[in-house]
Amino acid sequence: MAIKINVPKQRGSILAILEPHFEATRLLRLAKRKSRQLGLKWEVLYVETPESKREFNLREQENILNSLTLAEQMGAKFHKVAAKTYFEGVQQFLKQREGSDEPIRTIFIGKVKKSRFSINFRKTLVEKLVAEYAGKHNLVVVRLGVEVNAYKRYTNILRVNSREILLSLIAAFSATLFIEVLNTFIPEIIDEHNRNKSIIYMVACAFAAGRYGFLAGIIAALASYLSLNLLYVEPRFTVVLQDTADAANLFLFLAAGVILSLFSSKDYGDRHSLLKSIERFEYLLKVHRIALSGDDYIEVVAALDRELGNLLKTDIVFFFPSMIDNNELYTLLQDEVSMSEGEKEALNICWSECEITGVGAPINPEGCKWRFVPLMTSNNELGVMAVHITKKIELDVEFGRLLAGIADQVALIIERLNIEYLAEETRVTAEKEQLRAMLLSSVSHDLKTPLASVIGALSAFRSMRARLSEEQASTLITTALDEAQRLDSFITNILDMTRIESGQIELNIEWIKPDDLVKDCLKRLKERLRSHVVIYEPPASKYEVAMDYIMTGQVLQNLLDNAVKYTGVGSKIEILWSADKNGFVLSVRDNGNGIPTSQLEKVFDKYTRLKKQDHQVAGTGLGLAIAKAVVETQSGNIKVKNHTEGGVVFTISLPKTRKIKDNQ
Amino acid sequence: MPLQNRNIVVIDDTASIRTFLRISLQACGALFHEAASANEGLKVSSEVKPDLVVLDLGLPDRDGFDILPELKTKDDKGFSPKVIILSVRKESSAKEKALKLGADGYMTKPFLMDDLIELIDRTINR
Repeated sequence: MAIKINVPKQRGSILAILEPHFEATRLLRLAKRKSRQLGLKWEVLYVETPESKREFNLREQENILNSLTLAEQMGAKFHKVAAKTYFEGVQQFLKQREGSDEPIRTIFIGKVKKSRFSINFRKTLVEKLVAEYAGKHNLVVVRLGVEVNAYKRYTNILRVNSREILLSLIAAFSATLFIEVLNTFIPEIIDEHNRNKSIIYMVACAFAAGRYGFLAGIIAALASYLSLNLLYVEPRFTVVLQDTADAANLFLFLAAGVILSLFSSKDYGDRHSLLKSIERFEYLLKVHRIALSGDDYIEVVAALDRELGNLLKTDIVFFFPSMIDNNELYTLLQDEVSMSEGEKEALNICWSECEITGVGAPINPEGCKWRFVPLMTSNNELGVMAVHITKKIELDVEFGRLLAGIADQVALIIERLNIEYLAEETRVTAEKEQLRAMLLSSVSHDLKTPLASVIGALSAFRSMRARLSEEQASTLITTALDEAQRLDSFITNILDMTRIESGQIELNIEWIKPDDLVKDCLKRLKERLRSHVVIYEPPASKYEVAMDYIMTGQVLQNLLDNAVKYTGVGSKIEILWSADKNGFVLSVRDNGNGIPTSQLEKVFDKYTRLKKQDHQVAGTGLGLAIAKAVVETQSGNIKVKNHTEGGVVFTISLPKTRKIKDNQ
Repeated sequence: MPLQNRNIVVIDDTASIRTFLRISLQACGALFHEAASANEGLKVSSEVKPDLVVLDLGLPDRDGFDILPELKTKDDKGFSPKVIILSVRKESSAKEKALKLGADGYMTKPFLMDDLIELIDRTINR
């Protein structure tokens, strides 16, 4: 008999607390292992304190980003809390989670061995947490071997902006200048006991602290103290202080200066990070707008390149997989991006594993100066965004999250562009297919119809000969012949067009007398032209033209065919030509209704046919397209326009002429 | 002669086809009328009230299938002509559609005049 045991599903999660001064990989791994063991989720907490924004050196920054990236890759949820101290931040967070249905079950903290030289009056975070929470949560203290030089942290001036120091000194100096100016012009104000002077210097300190932060305030205070001491407190130009009251005043001044800096700068840190956040947010909005605007692939990538480069103040390179080999990445815009072997490897790992690599990430080869962020959506891996990490970049947690946010947006943009491109291609292909199907049915109709006349007429002749009059019999045979010739014309056109399109036309250029060409063509088309009036007067020309006889003859034939098709029985068709040293020009003019101006330019397009009243004129619609191709291949051109006195004029011109040799 | 004095209307936009049909059908004794477009065809048909209409599908102004039902609509005397379709299309779907819309016969182009005359004879004299 099976006994069902109801195991209540565990709720809650594991929390790992990240601190900036150690390398947290081991801590994270243990936390993750625990979460897997218990089947619980796990999270990481990072507390942002005012000092964290200014005091950390590059290595610590990288550590945090590294830990954060690793944690997220390992599936942890990230939390950030801002507080005055680390312990307060943790307290805040834990209090938040107390009543919720996902309580924190176990807290993982890292413990580092204290440096022998560190002066530490304060309890470490671990000690404080143990004291407060040992009863409420499981606490796991993970021993990490990294030593911390606490001293170094607090006295690390290297991160300070030298510009700020200069400006604070200038503030103090300006105060001095101000005092001297007052002294010169309104000496009554300046009081001997230096009370106003202290206040003026205090203003300078407040300005420096409020504008540039704590350290700037301190520097300004010190500079002001020295100025007061050296310049205004007796004895002047020495630091020695004789009067006890003076000494007391001065030290009180210094104390006031320090305290003032402390409080003025408190907001500075917050404001600075707030401004940065706003700036970054605005840029993200801009990226989002680019996402919605562009349609052209290269345009959008270039815009992204530009805007993101501005935002992050460094080089950004986008890598996309080549269409041939999905494992090969190439850049869209830059031709050459120089990367070391290590960097290239990081890039490849980023692409193949879909993980963040490079600076501030777990996989970071020696000397790598780039951070590679994969561009991916839930459906697709689209490419890699490479960000060049220079010293100018503030490499903090915010930065990592900013890059991740940007990468997500860019991936969506690229995905959208890809989809649109594919959709367009599909549409074009579908259109082409449809066009081809239409053409096929149209051409087969155009070939079968004359054939129907041939077969119909001849079969009628054969079976009803006895009952037919001479005239009727003759009409049947003529009809059959005409239509057979028409069919020949169609087929020739189609074949010519096919040959022209596949580039197989071989021109046989000879020196031809235009009159020969025209007369020959008129003879060939005698039957077809019988219901029209053809006007042709050969001009007296001593020139001959370089052309392909057969092809150009075909062109003239097509023009005449058109004239017949589109004009009424009995109307005029006029052929004119001239040949001189400037070239050869030939025109065919009919007396029909002309071509509507809107259709004039489409006349030479393939497969377009003009509608004649209610009838669709039979024909392949290729005649003029062929004429154009043939003429242009011989370096000539063909034009069409409506004649002012009615009808249409087609004009072809060929450039190469020469005087006919006398002995010909 | 099989088609003696029958009124036949041919609706086809190709002049040469109308030509040999005219000669052939007149040689068979029929009274021949022609039209080169759908609208013209409807007009002629309603005026002449033919025994048979030969209708080409590929007309320039309206599709042959379109006017087929109109041609077959009985007039006030309960009369409508027989209709034979002429077309280059040989797919069975086209034939089925024609018959469904009321056609009495279907001939694909090209054809032997003998065959068409036989079909016309069968259709008219059923």
